[in-house]
Amino acid sequence: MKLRTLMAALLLATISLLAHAHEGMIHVLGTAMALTDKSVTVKTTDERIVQVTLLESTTYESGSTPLTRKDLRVGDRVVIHAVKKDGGLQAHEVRFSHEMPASTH
Amino acid sequence: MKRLFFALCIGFIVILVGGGGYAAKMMLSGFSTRTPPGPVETAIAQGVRRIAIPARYKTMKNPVISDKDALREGMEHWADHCASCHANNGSGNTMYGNGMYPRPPDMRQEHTQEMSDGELYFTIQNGVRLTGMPAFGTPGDNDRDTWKLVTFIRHLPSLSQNEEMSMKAINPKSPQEIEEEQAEESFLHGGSTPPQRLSRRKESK
Repeated sequence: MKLRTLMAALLLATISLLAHAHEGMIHVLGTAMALTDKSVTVKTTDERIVQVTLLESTTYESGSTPLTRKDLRVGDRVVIHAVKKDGGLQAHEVRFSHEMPASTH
Repeated sequence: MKRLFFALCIGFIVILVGGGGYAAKMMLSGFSTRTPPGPVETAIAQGVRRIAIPARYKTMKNPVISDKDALREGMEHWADHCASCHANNGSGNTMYGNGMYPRPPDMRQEHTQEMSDGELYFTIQNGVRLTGMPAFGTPGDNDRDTWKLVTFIRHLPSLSQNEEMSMKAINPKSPQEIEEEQAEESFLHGGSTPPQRLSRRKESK
């Protein structure tokens, strides 16, 4: 019995199993309150302050126009799709507009 | 003879101890796909995959002329069928891709780009065992759509941001995702504030 268990374990150890991820993107909606090269602080529509890390791979767009980090301004409305990693949020995609800041009331 | 026997015994013990240790580690941590494969496993898997592609495919050239139409069709096909795992830009940075074991490769990089046309074609048509890559072809067919995908894969390293944006419109979306997107777009243009979303949405960046 023990030998069978060991053999099953060894067999399982040699194969890789297909799996699908079950973690999606976190969507952060609100107004950009502060900006650095590496992060954006957002006041969300439910009045939380959330900091999101900006990566080199983060993409920026407004409407259907691809933009860059430099086009993002404090006060912009933002929709950020981010992943949870290392205890923080890392931006995958930042969509923004220069509309009036989002009302939180 | 004794030396050979001794060497075989040592080899067997090393494999047994190594395999046992690996199995014990797996049993303690679980068979999770969260961590990517290590360098040894990656090197072995890639070597085996190379060997497993029949020789006649290795020298095949793409019969599809690489013009605008072929590229557009390949791009649309990719956005619709491949981007969920491989991402529109081929980076593999998607919800599904990031959770697979092994991760889909960054197809813009040398490792993929240095494969021959026929090797890419074979991989798309026949899939890769023990990974998330399914077989998309049927045996013996000469699928021009797959060759157009090969054309697009060659284009991935120089994919423009505008092309990537246009692919987003083709990515498959559920009605809920479409609704979410519309609500977010409305919010960006001064609309009312939709609730914060902690959705489990796949991204095809």
